[in-house]
Amino acid sequence: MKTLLILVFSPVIGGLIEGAFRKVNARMQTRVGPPIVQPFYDLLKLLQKRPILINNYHVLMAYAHFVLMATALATFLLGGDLLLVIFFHGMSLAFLAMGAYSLRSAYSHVGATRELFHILAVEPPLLLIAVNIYMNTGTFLLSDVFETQRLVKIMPFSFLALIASLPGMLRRSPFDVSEAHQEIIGGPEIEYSGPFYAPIYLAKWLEKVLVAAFIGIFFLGSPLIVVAIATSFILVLALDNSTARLSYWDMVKITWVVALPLVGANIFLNAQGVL
Amino acid sequence: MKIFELGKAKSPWILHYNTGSCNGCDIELLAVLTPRYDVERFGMLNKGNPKQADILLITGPVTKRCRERLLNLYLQVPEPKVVVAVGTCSCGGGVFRHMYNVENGVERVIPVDVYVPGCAARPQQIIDGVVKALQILREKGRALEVPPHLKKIVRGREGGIDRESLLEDLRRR
Repeated sequence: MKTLLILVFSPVIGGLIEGAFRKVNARMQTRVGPPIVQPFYDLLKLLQKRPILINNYHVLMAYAHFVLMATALATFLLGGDLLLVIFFHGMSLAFLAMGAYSLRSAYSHVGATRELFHILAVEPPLLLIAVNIYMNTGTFLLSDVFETQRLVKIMPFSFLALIASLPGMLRRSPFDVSEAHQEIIGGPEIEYSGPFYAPIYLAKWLEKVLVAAFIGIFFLGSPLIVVAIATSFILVLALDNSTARLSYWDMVKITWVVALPLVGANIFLNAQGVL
Repeated sequence: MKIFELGKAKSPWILHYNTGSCNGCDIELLAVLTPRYDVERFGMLNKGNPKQADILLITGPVTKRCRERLLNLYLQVPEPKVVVAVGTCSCGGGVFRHMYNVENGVERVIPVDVYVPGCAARPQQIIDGVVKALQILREKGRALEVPPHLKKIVRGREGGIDRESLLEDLRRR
């Protein structure tokens, strides 16, 4: 019942996280920033715009992107399989790229290619972290993982790897290659407008909740769980404001070179019984 | 519903297009986004994408090379939409008025809702103009909005442009 309640309210929580992101980002640039409920205004506005349909497949992929992101989040919060969550998440991003490929738009194609590289960069560290969680808990089932306490104590390097891949997952500088607003103007989402952009906008909120939940796994049973999630997000924003965008290939290289050895080290140390 | 109107007025996304301006107004427009004026506090974002924009901010006197592109951008913005002409040039040609290569202002090509004169228009004026535009945006609906002189140029429900008749129309005027 509690989880079901969380599930219903997760878009609301996601919208507030998104609003907080924009507010904190503005404060970091000494701006006033929009009100924290701004994403909800944006969503209401998008739903009222005149629909401009380019092709049916394009729109279908926007909804598929949203539905799979929601499925990933639901699987996570209802205690499903961790691997399934990661695959749903990856599939959801792949649908976004497929939708973008269905058009004859240059920026859309560039964005879709970068989106695929984005999946390539972000998913392997997540999968390895899942493997590491399996090593320590003996299960991929999140309902059982939720019983554990303070995983960060035995998996500190995995947590660092997650932090290292956070800018990629949240599409923030230096790894915001697929969106790149100043460069390819939103990439895969460029051709979506009005009510067809709304599912993609909503999926962004859900993705933020998913990422927050992923960080939360490491701090289960600790009173610091909210502080840890907030600190990680603020760290990502600080990095976003202090770095420039790298190329998509640099994103894959850096994410792999930093994150994969960290998880590998953690798996090794767990196997040796050091941690 | 009041809340829907609120959503429309609270989240204007901007498309900025320079139709041959001297860049004075464009610099002032960018100043609007900086910490000093910070229009994001009204929820405005400079999207740079006509398909996700609500407010068209246009600078410059509309050179003849630009008019077709300006019209194209205007038709790509989904309704409800509002056009703001920023700077004296876009309000009627300014110092470029009656020159052989300009259209004497934005209103000659697309309908304008708010005029912000000034050479260059100050950031405060631009913010004032956009806030006025929000009032207009609130009252507009999502019905396809085609200016009378463009009725036969725009094709079908999607709002594509019939290029031949467009060029003919522009040649005639």
